[in-house]
Amino acid sequence: MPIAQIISLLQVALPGALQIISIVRDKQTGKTTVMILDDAIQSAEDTKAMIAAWQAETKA
Amino acid sequence: MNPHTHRIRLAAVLLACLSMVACKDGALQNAALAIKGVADSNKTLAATVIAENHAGNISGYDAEIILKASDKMADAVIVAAKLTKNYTTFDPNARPALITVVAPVVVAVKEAIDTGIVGIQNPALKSKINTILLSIQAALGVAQTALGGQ
Repeated sequence: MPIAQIISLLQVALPGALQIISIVRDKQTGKTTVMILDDAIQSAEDTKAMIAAWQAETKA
Repeated sequence: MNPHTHRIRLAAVLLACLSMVACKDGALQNAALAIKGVADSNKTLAATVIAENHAGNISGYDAEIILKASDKMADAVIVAAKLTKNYTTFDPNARPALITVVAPVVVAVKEAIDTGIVGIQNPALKSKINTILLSIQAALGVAQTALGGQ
């Protein structure tokens, strides 16, 4: 099989493989990488809200 | 060469490529878990400082210094997590940008450990906050390693 044909097959196969890998779940939490990152963002936003509430309370 | 050999060779090439991508995804997941670790430890830090301030164990001045650092860490976590999400589309610009975001946070946490908790008089409380800061530092180290940083 010519190399060009193999490359063209890979170009078709890899995007699909990337999609499959992007839904691989963490063994311990069962969450995908994107879900873990969303949790991290939520946790950071909770922290910021907590600090903002404390600052408002101390200024009041 | 017979068709079976062609298929086996093609499968081998595909598996090699997939394993390379899978390795990248393993690093990505480690980075995500480390970022989540930083976010959770930082949340614990803020909650602890606020609770101890309410209890009168830490002054408003000292609490504000630590909470300002915590707020900056939360900002950095949000930026880092959003950039890491771009990794799933293999944005070639995301990796250096992410390492750039993580590096100053590592320095800020180190400074907080070295100097930020000096004002806390209660040894047990100082130790408690120091332990949380060290856990944030360790999680940041994992994120840096996973991303190929220093």
